[in-house]
Amino acid sequence: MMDVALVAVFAALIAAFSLVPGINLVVVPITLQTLAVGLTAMVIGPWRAFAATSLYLLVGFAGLPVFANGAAGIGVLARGSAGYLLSFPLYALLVGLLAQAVVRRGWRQRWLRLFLAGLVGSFTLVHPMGIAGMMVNVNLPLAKAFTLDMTFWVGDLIKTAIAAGVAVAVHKAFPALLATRRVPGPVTA
Amino acid sequence: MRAGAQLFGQHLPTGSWVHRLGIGTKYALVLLPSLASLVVRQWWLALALVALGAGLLLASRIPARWSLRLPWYFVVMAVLVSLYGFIAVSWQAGTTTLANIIGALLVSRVLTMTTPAADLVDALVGVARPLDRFVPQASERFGLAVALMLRSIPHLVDSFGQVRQAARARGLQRRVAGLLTPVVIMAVAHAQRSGEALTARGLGDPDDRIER
Repeated sequence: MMDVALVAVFAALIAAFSLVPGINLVVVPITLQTLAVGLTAMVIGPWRAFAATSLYLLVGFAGLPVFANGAAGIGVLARGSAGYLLSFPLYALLVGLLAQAVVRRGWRQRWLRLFLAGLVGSFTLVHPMGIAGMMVNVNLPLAKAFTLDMTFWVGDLIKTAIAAGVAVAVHKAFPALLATRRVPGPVTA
Repeated sequence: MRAGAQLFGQHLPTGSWVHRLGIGTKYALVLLPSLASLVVRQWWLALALVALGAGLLLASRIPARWSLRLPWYFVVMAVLVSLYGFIAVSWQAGTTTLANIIGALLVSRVLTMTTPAADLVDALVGVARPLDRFVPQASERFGLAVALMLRSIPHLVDSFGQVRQAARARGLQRRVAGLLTPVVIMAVAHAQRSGEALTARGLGDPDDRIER
């Protein structure tokens, strides 16, 4: 049940951070949302993070107002930001796998490695899918969509750095979160 | 608890025929035309989507000042993103983008404004039911996850607010990482407590039940 609880609470964390007021840029509202997605991937591991981000999207598509600015429903798929939203589960899976490797192997410089893991996910999945979304939904040619996407790069670097820092602290507080093997619980209860 | 109010405050009952439609019909009315218009991308289909959304919202007898209101930032965003289509591509492309964004919002609203949130959740969990054949208790666990997620959102928004206030009192509000770490640690602790509580009540963990 721990898995279900972690998935649910981190989906809630993404929703909560999406609702906390952020800054609106032209096409995509910048919120703490992407920061929460990065954190989810770095903290709870690949499959749980994949499930948490998918749960978040499903609940939003089903009509509950959990997207940025309290938006809801599949209407968000018509917007310029659709590609970014749809990239979350894949990003969570990839960054989760990398982060899990970093934590399990006990590598040093955890922060730097988690930060790099986050950037790999961002630049191989989130930004390309975001650009594709803008091209399809907003008729932007590749060059324009790319330029627009670049405006998020600095924010993305900062958010990934912060997420990695928080993830290091959380793993210090809960070392068992990404432990190699699940400790078989005592047969109490 | 603004987030809590926001989450469950969109339903406006009037008893109209739109409200009384079955949830499956409502989802079909929302999903099929929206997806069709997003995929086909024709200006006339996008305008039809706007007409469908506005028509159903008017038929719902919810006062139009609520049901058809568009937030200013949403209008600014919609106009700006469709501007490129109007200027650089064609009026059809611009119209398609603008009408798709507004139409999809209105049609989604038909669902959120005429249906209680609890019914939306039930419908979502109901969709997972066929999975039970392949994964034991899949829909039960999915339902628990949705319920726990929705309960946790106001809790987390609250703990974020508390941490921010505490930081402000100490003049530390500038450090974002310092603000977020306690929130995430509280979230993990909350998840572990909830997981233990669910397990203690024998909910959702098939493996454990068989072992004991």
